[in-house]
Amino acid sequence: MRDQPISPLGDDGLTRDQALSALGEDGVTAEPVSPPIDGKDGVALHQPFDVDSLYAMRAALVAHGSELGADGVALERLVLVASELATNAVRHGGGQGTLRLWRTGVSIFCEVSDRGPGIGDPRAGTRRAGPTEPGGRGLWICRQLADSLVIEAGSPGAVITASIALLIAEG
Amino acid sequence: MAEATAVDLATARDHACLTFTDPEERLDLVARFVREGLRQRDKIICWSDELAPETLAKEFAARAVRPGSALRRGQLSIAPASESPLVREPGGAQAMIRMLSGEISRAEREGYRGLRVTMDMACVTRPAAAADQLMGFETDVAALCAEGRLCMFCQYDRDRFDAVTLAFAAQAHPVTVAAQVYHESPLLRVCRQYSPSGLRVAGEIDYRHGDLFEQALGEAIRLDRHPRVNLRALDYIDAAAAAVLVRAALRLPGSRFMHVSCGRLVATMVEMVGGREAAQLRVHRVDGEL
Repeated sequence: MRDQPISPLGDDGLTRDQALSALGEDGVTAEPVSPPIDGKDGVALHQPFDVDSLYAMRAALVAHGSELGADGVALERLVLVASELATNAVRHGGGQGTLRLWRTGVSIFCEVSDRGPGIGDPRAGTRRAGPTEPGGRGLWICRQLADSLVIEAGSPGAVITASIALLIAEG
Repeated sequence: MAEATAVDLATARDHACLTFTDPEERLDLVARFVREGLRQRDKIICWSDELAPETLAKEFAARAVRPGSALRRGQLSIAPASESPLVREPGGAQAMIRMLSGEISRAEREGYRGLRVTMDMACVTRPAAAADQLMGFETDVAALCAEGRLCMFCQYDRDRFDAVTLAFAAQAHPVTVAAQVYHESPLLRVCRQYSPSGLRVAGEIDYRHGDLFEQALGEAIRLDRHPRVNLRALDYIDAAAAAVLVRAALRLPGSRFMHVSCGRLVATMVEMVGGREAAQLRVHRVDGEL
């Protein structure tokens, strides 16, 4: 899925190759992303969530993702990635978390933070679980559908930031 | 008072009331009614209100009913309900009963086992229709059905009728027909699909409904050789629920297939959890992509 073209990239001045070279050799590690400050420069959505508000969070994601310029495949990937990260936070990260969404250049970033035990292994989700395994797919899927994924330690918990390029060929 | 229970449509041969809010579900049940009638060599008349006859025929064709040859040989006829005697003629109820009596005799002469009629009763809510004829018709047609040669399937759209009329309709029919519902909430509906037979899921589904989804899929697998899983109205599925679907398909023997129809987002998630590894799983994207 990640091999679909995302060019031309716009005001970031990055080609797809340049963007991918920012990732490590395994395509896993990227430089942590500095989000804008809430309320000052462009966080479109700052939404706490728990198990009972996952539906509402997805509806907000669609609305704000569209506002930020995502549609078609990009919007669907945003919803799938952010929802899997949020579900992980609910199921394994203390039962609740916070989603933030913003746009930088031609990418939308979504950050999901929780106050759970954290993710010790930064390579978590690099192995694909087989169809008959009971779980362990969420992060792997996020890595496939997002253009970058950064896992950081929170205090406590985990902060995961994914980016989705806005220009993705429909397919 | 009608039994407000799910009915196996294959055995329904009476004066039945189908109340619905979801057009897709209505079409599914009516298609099954027609398919069963064709199989049993009944003559069938469909009075359509909301959909033009050609459109309804296309909807049947999309639901495992082959209307073409049945229409040509006269076993099946589809007509606008606005042209029925119930709507067009003064004293419409009696005129409709006379017409049905004539059609029953004609079907017998033509060698059919009996007559099946389904009608979208919303036609009586149109401005030109005599709504007061509805109650008289429903009362009299019950007697005609009781003779055993007519199976009448009356469709009531809950959004078109007031509560008093719906209560009357429920009382006037011995049987209420509805899809078997496994789960219903404002955000998720999981019910059996009858034509083609399988399962229909609409709304959003995630890990919290994994057990329910697994049970419903399990029943479809038990009942249907090649279950059809209709996810066209499913707007979201998470990895856990998609994995339930793929695991269910993997449990099928190699000679059986699970056909899933869905939009792109759902197809993406099914692929992400290993859908392509399940040879028994056939995903049909509603936008035409595979």
